[in-house]
Amino acid sequence: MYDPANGVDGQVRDVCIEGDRIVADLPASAPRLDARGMIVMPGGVDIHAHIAGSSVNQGRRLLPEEHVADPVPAPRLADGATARSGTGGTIPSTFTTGYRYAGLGYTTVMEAAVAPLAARQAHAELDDTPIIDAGCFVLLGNDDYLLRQLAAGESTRAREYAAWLLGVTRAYAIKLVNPGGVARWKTGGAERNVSGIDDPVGSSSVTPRKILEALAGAANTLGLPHPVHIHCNNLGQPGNVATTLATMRALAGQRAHFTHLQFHSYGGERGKGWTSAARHVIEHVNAHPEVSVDVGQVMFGPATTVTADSPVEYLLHASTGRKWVNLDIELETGCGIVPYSYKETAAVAALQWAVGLELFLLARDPWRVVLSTDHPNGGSFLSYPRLIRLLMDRAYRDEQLKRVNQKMLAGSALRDGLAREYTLSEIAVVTRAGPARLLGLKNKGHLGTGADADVSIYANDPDRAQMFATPRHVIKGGAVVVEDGQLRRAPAGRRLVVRPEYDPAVTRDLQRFFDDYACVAFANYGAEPVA
Amino acid sequence: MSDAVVLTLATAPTRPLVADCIAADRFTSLGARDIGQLPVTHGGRRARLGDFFTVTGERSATLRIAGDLTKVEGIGAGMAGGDLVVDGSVGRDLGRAMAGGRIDVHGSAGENAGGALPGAARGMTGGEIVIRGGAGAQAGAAARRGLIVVTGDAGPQAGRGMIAGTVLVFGRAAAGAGRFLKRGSIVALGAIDRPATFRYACTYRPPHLPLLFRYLRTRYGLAMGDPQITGRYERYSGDLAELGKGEILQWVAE
Repeated sequence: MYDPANGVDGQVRDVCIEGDRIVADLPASAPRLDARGMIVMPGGVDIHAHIAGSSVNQGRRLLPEEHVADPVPAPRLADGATARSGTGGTIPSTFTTGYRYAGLGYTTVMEAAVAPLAARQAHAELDDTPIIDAGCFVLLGNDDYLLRQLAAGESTRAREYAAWLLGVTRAYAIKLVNPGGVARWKTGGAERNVSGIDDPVGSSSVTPRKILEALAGAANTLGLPHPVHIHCNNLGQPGNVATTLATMRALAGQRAHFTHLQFHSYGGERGKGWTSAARHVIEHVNAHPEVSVDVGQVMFGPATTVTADSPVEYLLHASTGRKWVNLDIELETGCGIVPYSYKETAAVAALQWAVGLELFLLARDPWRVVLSTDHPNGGSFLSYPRLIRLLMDRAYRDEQLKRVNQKMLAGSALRDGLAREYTLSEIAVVTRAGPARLLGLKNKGHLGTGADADVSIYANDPDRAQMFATPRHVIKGGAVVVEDGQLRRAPAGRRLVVRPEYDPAVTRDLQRFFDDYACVAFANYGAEPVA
Repeated sequence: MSDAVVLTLATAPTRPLVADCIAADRFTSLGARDIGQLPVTHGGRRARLGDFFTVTGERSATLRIAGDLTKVEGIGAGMAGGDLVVDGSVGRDLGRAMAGGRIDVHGSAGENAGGALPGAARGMTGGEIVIRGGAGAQAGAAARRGLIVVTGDAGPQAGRGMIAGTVLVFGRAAAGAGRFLKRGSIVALGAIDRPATFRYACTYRPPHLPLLFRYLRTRYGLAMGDPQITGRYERYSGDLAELGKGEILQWVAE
């Protein structure tokens, strides 16, 4: 058993389950599942993926060719339970998303970018995504009402608004995407993005720095279980390491989670080439215990980039010529989608791949460096097992390193030879215990008494990619969903939400704002269940 | 192993029959029974190839099909090798996204011959399709490589969005031929409704066309007049709204 949160590292133990909880012991007559010789871990926790909502669904509509290539017949479930067919590809259909996550031993997934206006759709899709427990991060970094409050110096009202919005959209955490940059893009002016955290956005008193401070402060003051979840400015640009470090310093001393850090760790200069700056970024993370990150590893193969960061998607579309979608979510945010493919032969893709691995291998505290591919941006969640093997098996990693384009890898620590190999216990941290702790999910990511009965059981295969791709058994909430490698049950998952207190006075001001500007009546806004 | 696998239409489909399992290279390792078991959809419902076709012969890279196949869609889709000869006219998606081999249709073809799956960036990536009759809209759309020959008229948007490759039309090419193509050639022996985004470059005798025509005459026995083989062609460069490295070659009567 590997349960790092409880200090269990490869000891032989029993896991006792009663109902949907783990208990201290059971009578000897209780039914048993024989897992001798196998590897037992808590169910996987994905801290950052895009699996539901208007942007994801728009992506599905953009990719009919993937649906033809990867049809998914309905699984044959036990007990005559209703199973649904679907489609796979980089953005699987709702049911397939649930089945495939469970098929990897993941039982909790966070949808990382929900526009408030589309929250109802996100919840409707999650209602149709079986097995996994899920939560939504609500987009706030370019929200018109919020920026107006900051411009007017109303930081308290901005916080009350954030608290109200989290509740009314049934969200779990606050998400920032390119704070201020998307708002600038949407004005359609000559300045299409911000270049750093001190550029003015509309009003001279609003800058990315101010937005970051306001929302990081709000999340911490409100005592949210997960701190503010930040997608920094200048994603994917050479030289963006300066912006990333400036953002981290701007929030020094405050808890903050920096997501898909790989996409924000490049040196170099636009037009003059890229280099790896992973070392600088991860050194900062190592030295600042209040900072947590997920990596956003790039995996070679097909992907679909889908983000609220419209200006980035525009650049990606312009440079690849691939089809794309650009959405304006009126007062709230943007969205862009470009199907993409990371090729070993491409210099930038090889650099991105190396930067992600450097972050993993140079990280000193695995509890704050979570495994992610920013599904489906850096690659599908289905590539997690291969990523785990890259971390655990140096020979495999070095062999792949030899094959990739070397042009931009000169400054990469990976090429200097990073000998580190993750242990099974460290893998359990970066895929389960760590993300659960960072999300403040006390009953997830461990197998102690009182925890949710989410358990993954793997055959001890020396090929770790094979092992993590095909768990023998997966238990979710006490139900054996995967039995002997076959998906057998697909119960509905739970929704993870927060509902912070707020001063109702904010709603009176919001009512007026909605009457003046919004396409939706105030009473119809949000994602509260309809009576 | 037989000289050829022969599929004969025994039960005419009453609705569109999607039979994208039919491809010459796919049958090289299959017995007659297995071929009959391949999945098709008839009006959206699942069925077997054997429900509609009689299969004779097995394990051959040469495939012949006979019958009125105008309701049969996706013949030769994704084919990567071998020879497929069709005696009759076929429905849409003939040789869709095929990668290699030869398809020879003694009849006409529906829309999207040699084209792409909906949403896909690439259509045909190699091989040859010869249609001895008319072709529907978007023949060779988004092709990346390969040759499509239409001895009759081609419907609208032939070679639309081609990345490379050649579409040769003996008859009339309807509106939008070559629109959005990046590279590649559309060779028109008859009238062609040229998009405004193609610009006249020159009139010349392209040295490669006689080679192509002689190949078609020898390999497929296509009737070809000497004036076309050795004649002069107007070259129009385009699509200038795209990369502009493609061309329409239009034959000029002397």
